Amino acid sequence: MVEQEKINWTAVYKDGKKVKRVKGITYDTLNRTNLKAFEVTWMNIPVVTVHLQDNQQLIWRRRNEVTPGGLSRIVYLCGWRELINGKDVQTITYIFDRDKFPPEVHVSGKFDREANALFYPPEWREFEVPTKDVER
Amino acid sequence: MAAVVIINRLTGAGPSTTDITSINTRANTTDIHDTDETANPIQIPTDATSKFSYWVVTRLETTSAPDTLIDNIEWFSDASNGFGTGVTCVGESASAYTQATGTAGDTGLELTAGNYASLTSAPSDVFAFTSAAPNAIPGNTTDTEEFGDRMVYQVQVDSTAGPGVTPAETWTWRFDET
Repeated sequence: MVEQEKINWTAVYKDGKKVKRVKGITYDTLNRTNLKAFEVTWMNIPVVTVHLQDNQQLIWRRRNEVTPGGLSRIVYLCGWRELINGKDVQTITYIFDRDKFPPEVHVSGKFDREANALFYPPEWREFEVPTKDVER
Repeated sequence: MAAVVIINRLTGAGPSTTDITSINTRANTTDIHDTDETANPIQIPTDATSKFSYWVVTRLETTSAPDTLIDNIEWFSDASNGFGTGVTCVGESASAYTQATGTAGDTGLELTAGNYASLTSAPSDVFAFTSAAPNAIPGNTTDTEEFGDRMVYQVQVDSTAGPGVTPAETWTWRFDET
């Protein structure tokens, strides 16, 4: 049986258009041009909105743990990555799906496994790698 | 929708696969999956040598595909050897399947890079693979299939071990999905 996912997302564009994740529209196929925000919902209730600037590359993952015996844990990574003064900088929100509302949310900068074993980088997609260096 | 991912144990020449996602599996001296088999224990050596379980080969499988991709696969223990005195466990990932063998009811063939040629490297203490320092498992999938390298492990027993069934240990697989 395929379990209904509680967490979902909607992409919000500068012209106000919204695109929800449905079959055929995935994180990897999402049009990133003029992307303004990324709204994450739990059972259709908004829990986190990531506001994106032009040079910030969206990051999204469903991180899963599974063990014999049926135990499992799910955490969603949601945030951005950008190049500032030559430095690769990230801000990531970790949304722990523990089957209760509100979900537990952590926010972290650099990927730091010493802070939490789940705070490590994904395998990057080409479209997630920032190309333009921003001076701040 | 999110993918549905199960954990399989691979046994036999085929190999045959058994879904162990919701159950336990025994590491003993026979090349079958069983949750409570006691007819083929690992014997306790009477000298300074070790005796071994048949190696256990496990692998992930998607029974429902991801939206796009599953990657960044990891495997780890709880960092604490709860098997008891004289019982250890070693393991490593492997790019191919090699059937376990040995002398049933006595000892398995030792898990080494020589005996299991597709191991990524020499097997090591699995309790050093932790949530914060897991074993990276090469591979990914976009489809419904068995995917990624296998994780192969073996229980090892020395003369200080006591008789009987050891406490269970739990291994965890971790992966990213989009």
